[in-house]
Amino acid sequence: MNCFRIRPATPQDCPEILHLIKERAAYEHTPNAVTLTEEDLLQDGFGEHPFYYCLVAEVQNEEQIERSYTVGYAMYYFTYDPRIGKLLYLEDFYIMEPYQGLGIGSEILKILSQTALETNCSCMQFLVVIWNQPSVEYYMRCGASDLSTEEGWHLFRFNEETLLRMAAE
Amino acid sequence: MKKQLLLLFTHRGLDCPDLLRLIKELAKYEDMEDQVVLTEKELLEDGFGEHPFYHCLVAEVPKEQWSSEEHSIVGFAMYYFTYDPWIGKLLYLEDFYVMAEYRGLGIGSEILKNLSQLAVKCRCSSMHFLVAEWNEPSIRLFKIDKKHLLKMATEE
Repeated sequence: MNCFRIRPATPQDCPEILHLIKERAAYEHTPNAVTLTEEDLLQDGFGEHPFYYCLVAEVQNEEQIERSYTVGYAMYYFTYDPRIGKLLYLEDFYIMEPYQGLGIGSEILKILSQTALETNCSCMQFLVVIWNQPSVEYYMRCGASDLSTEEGWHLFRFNEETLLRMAAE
Repeated sequence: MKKQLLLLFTHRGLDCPDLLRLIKELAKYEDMEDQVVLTEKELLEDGFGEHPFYHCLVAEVPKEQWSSEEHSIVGFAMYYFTYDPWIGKLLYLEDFYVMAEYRGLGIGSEILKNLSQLAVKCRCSSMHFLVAEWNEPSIRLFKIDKKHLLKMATEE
């Protein structure tokens, strides 16, 4: 039987986190979409101004207790709503398939909820692709509400090419 | 309005009262006025503490253009940085508002231009923002901007 623990990521976790990010991208059939490097993750997460925070899920094998390996991560940061103030934004949340259904996800959400409350955040927000029915159902069961359905929000984007054109106008 | 009559600058602590005034105005326009619970004190702490949770550009007009209630700050754009685990830093435009009587004068375009420059300077891969599907004028604004940009690219 495996037991697991969730802890804040350290700079030494960057290689493993990147490995999991790529694994997830491969699962979504877009492995080449990941252009981030270990160096980016290190500078952006552990520099003077962190652009993200990360929890990692580690599993230890009871028979070989000195061995632990990273089987999941949750990447988050803080956003701001001008009506209510700070929010915790859950950017990415992935657990390797063999380790799903063991309570790791619930434990991560519990710690994130505690973090949100400790930092005076009004709520936790995240994106879910609407065709990802298992995820949609999972979060609805946890008590999440779909703001696109309820309030009509759509996420728009200016890509890099457009930004360069607008910047040079 | 001539561009030299408009000043865009990074929001300072002393702008918090004006920022909150505009936030409430925008909320009223979105029929969400009673949902604004943020205070000037929170805006100050959250924007100017050790770890700023937001950044802001404000648009100021000179005295001869001040509003009927003598406000010089007539618009704002609130933004922060987010993170995509595939590509890294993004600029997120949280809120963007220009007082009704100052629209159509190029303030919005100037704000977007400034934000684009900022995004490029900070090596952000893109700028994201939300638009409510009922907000026809905003949707039309962004659609027009894209067509305009494409036209400019062709002309170059």
